[in-house]
Amino acid sequence: MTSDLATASPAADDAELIVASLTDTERFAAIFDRHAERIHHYVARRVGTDAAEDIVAETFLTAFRKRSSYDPERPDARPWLYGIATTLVARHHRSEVRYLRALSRTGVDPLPESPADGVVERITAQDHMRKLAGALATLGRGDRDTLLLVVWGELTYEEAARALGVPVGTVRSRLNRARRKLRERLGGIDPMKEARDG
Amino acid sequence: MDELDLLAELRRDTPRISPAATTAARARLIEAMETPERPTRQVGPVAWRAGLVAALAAAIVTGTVVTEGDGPGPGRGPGFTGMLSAAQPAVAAVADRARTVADREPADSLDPTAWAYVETLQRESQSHEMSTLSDWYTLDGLHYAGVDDSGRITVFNGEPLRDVPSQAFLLDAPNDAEGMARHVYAEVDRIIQGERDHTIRGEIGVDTSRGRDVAAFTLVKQVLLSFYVTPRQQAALYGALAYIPGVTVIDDVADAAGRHGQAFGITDSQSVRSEIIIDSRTYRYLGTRAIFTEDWTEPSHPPGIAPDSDPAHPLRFPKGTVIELTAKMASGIVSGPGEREEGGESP
Repeated sequence: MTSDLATASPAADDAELIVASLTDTERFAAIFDRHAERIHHYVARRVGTDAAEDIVAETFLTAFRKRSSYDPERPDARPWLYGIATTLVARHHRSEVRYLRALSRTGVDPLPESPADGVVERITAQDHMRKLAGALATLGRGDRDTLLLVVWGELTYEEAARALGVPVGTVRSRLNRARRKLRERLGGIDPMKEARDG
Repeated sequence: MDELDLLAELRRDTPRISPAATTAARARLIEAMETPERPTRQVGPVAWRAGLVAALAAAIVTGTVVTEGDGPGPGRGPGFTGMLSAAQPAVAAVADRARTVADREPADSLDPTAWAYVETLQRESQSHEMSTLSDWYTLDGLHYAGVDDSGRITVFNGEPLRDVPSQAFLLDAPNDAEGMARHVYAEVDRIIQGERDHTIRGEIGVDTSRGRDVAAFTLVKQVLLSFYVTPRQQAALYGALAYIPGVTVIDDVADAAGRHGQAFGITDSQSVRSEIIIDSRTYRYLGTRAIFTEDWTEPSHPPGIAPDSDPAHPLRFPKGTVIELTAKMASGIVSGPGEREEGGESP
């Protein structure tokens, strides 16, 4: 193996960095630098940027403490990190559903946002987005976790299965169920037409 | 555009993490990196017990990737040479009587390449279903075997220094109580070090997260349950328990097969008492039990614990909840993997 070369290389994959961090803890900072922004965005879309800031910090602290159990055969740490983050999101389960229901009902997304540069405009969501939010709120947590890991986290089915610690067959059946519910809720509109008509 | 495309658009413009938040989160991580680490705590007792089963399975599965010809490597080294606590008289007295009974047997003469068979009965912690586990090992820990439902025997390679625990632990173990205690503590220290430097298997059957003494007790408990143990080794393992602070003798505990006996126990910080149950008359090892001695609720933010339970619904265990119950039903030297009849001398 070329582990010495690999750990010295800036292009080391996540697994090499995590293994290196077992003896040189500072190597783990690169895992944060690589993934924090995307993990934050995924979490912020679910529970808001304020909660996401805390969850991101917790995710990487948890990952750092558990790094000795990381499977060095997995070069990409995203499924592992998304899995930890998703577990932490579960603590905000009620808020997540409340925000989705409010968006569905009022068309205004109450998702808490940090004051970003400039004023965040809260535009009234289109009808199909409101229906979509309503459908998301009705999903079971496992189904919603799976769906959002795949769509917002951009994980493959296999990666989502690893993130959630479930068989890939479970990911498929959860996705099928979740998509069916979304389609049922969206049934009254033709999203294709709305997209075309803008 | 289907529902997934629509979903991909939902909240797409959520603000990115701010530089200030990035800096703050990164600073928390750096602070953790610079703090000396304690061993990672493992999850709660239920998962811990399940982890035990996984550990044995993992040892067998991962054993297949070991290249042929891998020897046991460097040995376990000398026993623990530091200070041992004074032996506790109540525990030592039981061990001494076990020793007297064991000494009536002929001296141990064990072939390291011999196969041992062990059958255990295990009660599932939630469903209370009973399952019987049949395992074969060579005494040197270099081979494991299992039989699947269709009767097919598969032999795997083991790694005696990476598998925790390994049958090989007993191969070079002293037969006196103090020597065995030093052997046990040396092995626990080796496991703790191996967890840090990644030289033992990730999923292990000895929980070191509750301190060195509980780990020493757990190691003895696992060895007695999982492996072929001669009466002399058994008496020495009981004797070693006398040197572990906190071990007590408990009257009348029943194993998974309903057999009653007395037990050695140690209580951890979660108020779980692990017990090694032995026959009060013959001192033969019977099985194990783990029981909550107080009501227990999962703490909300345990640092470093794998957050695999729902934080909104923390685990709760009333006093008296039994989370582990096993019985060792058979154990002996056999002529080969898959064989259940004792082919060697009776233990």
